Amino acid sequence: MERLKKLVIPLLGCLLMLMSIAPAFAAEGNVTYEGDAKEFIFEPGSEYSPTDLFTGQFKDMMPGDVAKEEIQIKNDSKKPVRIYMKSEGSVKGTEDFLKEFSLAVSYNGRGLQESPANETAGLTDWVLLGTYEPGAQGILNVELKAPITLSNEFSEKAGYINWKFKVEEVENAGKKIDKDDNATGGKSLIDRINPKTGDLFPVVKVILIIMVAAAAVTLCVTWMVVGKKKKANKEEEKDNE
Amino acid sequence: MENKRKALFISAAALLVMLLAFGATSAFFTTEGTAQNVVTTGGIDIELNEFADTGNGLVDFKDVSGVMPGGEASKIVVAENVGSHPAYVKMKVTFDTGVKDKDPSEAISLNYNKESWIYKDGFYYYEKELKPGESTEPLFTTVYFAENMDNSWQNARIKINVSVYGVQSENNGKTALDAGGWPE
Repeated sequence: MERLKKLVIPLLGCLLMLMSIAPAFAAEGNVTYEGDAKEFIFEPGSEYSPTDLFTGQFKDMMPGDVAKEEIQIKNDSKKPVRIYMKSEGSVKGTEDFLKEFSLAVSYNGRGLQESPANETAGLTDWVLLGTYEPGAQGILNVELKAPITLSNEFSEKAGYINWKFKVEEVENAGKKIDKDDNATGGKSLIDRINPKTGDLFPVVKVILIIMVAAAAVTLCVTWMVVGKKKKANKEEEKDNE
Repeated sequence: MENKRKALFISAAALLVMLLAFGATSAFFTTEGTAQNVVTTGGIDIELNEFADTGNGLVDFKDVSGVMPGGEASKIVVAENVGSHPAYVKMKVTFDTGVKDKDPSEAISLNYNKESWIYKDGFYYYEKELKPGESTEPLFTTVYFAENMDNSWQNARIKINVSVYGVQSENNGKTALDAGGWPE
């Protein structure tokens, strides 16, 4: 009985701790890559847009307000993937409104954008958020500030910002993933390459193909040369007989 | 013939290798999605309400006529926050009498509520923040006509104009008197 108590009580304690921590990590918005459907799911959505990641704090803002949100990025597929993000800035017709606001976006402590909300700034090109193992997730932090001086002409208005997300399945699933290139966000080689829709051969792969092709050709040539020599030797032996 | 066959074999081998490598690369899947994120702003909405007490309850205020010197009329003036954000409120009262060279205070006076409303620089500031759905205490409830009105006020039409102004109380000081950004 004593042994059971010693086991159960710490376990219950751990469970209670986990339950109290979990809500603190609950993100308000979600970007989920669904592997079966091979598409992104954006939540929670709103009356303004079904793919709206900005929750209630970003609605009905008043001058002087600061809205903050954590958006969860998750790989819900069976394969490791790389997830990229970029901004298209404000939708046409809402630039004047959104440029009044300051927008800061960061991922795992790495600043991605800090500019007027209508701009794309550091998110103009694709940025690698990280490589996600199946089930892995990361947090995108967003902060939006409305100036206290915001004019009455901007009361009861709406502004729209488009963010694009892109996923790339990692080829060699069994290979160990480089320490820097993980879901906590790192600097991978791909980070420096502007990815296109799967029809561009990354540099490393091209080199490999050339090397393998060259090796195949060399083998064949060698086989040919050796074969010729053998034939020549045989003929010589025949002549000598 | 032999050389031709060999050349063909080499070419086929190299091509096969390249095709295999290409195939592996083509299995490289990508997809994109777009999230359209929305930011909206709120606003302040304050309404001015005027009532009269008939003795049987409150009704909407209507112009009163035929009041004699020493008489009085019920006019209850309140502001209501009909918006979704808390606000500070102030009011301004002006008079139109149509009587030349006469100060309106010679003819009428109002029972201003000086407990709930603070007068400063021509405006009456409500002492408290007004939450959505709340109404202020009345600024005044009765118009008194002076007993000693002279004949120049006979058949006069006295208009009491009340204007209400609201400004957000969030991020805007602790009292109405501290607040900025009042509409003109």
